[in-house]
Amino acid sequence: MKNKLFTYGLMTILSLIIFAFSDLTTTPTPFVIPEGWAKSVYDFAKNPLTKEGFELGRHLFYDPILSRDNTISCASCHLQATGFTHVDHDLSHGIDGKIGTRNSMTIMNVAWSKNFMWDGGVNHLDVQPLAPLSNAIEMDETLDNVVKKLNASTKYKTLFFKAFGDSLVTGQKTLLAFSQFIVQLNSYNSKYDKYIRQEVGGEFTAQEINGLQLFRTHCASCHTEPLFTNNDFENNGLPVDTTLNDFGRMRITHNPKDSFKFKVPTLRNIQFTYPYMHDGRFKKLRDVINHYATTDKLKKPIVLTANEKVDLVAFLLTLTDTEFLFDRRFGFPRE
Amino acid sequence: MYKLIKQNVFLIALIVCVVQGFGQSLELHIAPVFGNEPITEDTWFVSTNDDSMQFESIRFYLSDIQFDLNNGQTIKDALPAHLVDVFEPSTLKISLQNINYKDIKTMHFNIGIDSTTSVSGALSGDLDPTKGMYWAWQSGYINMKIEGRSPQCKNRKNVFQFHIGGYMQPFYAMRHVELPIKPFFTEGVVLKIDLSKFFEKININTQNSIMIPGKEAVQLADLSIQMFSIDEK
Repeated sequence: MKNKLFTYGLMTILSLIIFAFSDLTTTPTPFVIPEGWAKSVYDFAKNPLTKEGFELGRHLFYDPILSRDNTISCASCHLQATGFTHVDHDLSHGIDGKIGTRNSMTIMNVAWSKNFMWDGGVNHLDVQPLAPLSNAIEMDETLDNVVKKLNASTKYKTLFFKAFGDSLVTGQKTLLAFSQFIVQLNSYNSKYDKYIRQEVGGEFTAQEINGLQLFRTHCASCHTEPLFTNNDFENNGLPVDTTLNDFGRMRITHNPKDSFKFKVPTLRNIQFTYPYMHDGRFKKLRDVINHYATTDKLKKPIVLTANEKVDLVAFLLTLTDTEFLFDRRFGFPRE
Repeated sequence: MYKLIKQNVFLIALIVCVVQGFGQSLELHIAPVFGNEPITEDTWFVSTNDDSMQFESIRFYLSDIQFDLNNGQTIKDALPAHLVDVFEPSTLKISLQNINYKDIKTMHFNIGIDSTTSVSGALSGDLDPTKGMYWAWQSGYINMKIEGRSPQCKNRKNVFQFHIGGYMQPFYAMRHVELPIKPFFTEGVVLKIDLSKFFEKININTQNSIMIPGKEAVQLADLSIQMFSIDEK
């Protein structure tokens, strides 16, 4: 009897040990490159994607613990349903209701991006979270202090252990976890994508086909398919807003040639990412198109009839990817 | 008894020789000074321009430390970079393995972090962005921070703040330093950093806040080289 009890006890302990070790292993999730797309810029060899890393990054993304007074999370300005950007406000607002100087950018397909922010000042996805984190009008916090807060949290100690096999939170691990989540926010299932892949649901109307042709003629040199950005900096001829005097890329390079140049944003999910431009000055897509059709600052003027403008908008609406906008994996982590 | 001591002295000497010969570990001591005085907190120093000043923070990266040996070999430090904090004594001593100081001809290092490392994302150890030496809205490491106060700084709170960095041309702020080392050091190598050399060329009345990469940061980076020397006393 005693012997039996001993055997059971031993088996329980053994299975517990096995269970403990099974918990140590992470689940690799290979990065998906959509058909016909280029290789990503992000180097996954340095930060191999795992389910656990993604989940940790997701918790961090939605947690206001990142801000000085625990009020602002990444999602405050980057909402999934609107292409991970802040809508309704020309200039995004942050901590204590303070208002910034630019419209928040979308977060989509960032693994293909060489640099980040409207002026490209951030050179690597891993270090991108530092910008909003330490900005005095966004989160007004330091990475050092965030790491201290995370190290004091049982929830995060557990999540870090699951993701990295070590519960000690460091700045590097925090940033790598962010990248794990952000890099998987990829939109490639819009009607346009299905049209290109000749899939069901991708049947374009005559108007949309005409819009695509107009787009390729007039817009695609900067908003290059399939990312709908050439990942470069351009001056699109907007008159300077003298209340902001934002010189864009020149702030980073100090090169007068870069004056008023801003990063070309993707147009994916543009239906929902309003207002438009770096300072959010346009509320409607037709305002944007009217700007391009009237400015004399472009190398090649864009001439469009009223009907063509309508067709172009019809095409832009095919860039909406509802699968992406409502993908539960990217939403607030409910547990 | 006398014989025993004599024997032991011989034994100790032998052990020391063996440790030095085979252990081959080099201690690099960093000695922060202002002219002839060691730098301590809450001490006032006077520059050759008659500016009086007190330091609050002096931090910098020493990276890619290398030693040229007499036999033509070059030995590299195992770590890519060390963050030195003048007011953090533990950072003022760097142990370098597998280097015998007797064979060293020249020491090389960089002040700051190179451009490749600056575009490599989130790194660990002394390069972890939690160390307060990483910029946010414009990526890149701060190679050197010198902060303090001086009544000659005509600004709010009379402070000076120099954050020297920048990894993009033409404002690349990392600087290479090469220092010859005379043989027969007995207690490792003492790398002196003399802040008075830096403030010799600065008019802190007007030039007291450089916090972004650019022309001024490059000038300060050039100036920062002058501070480093090998103490040969």
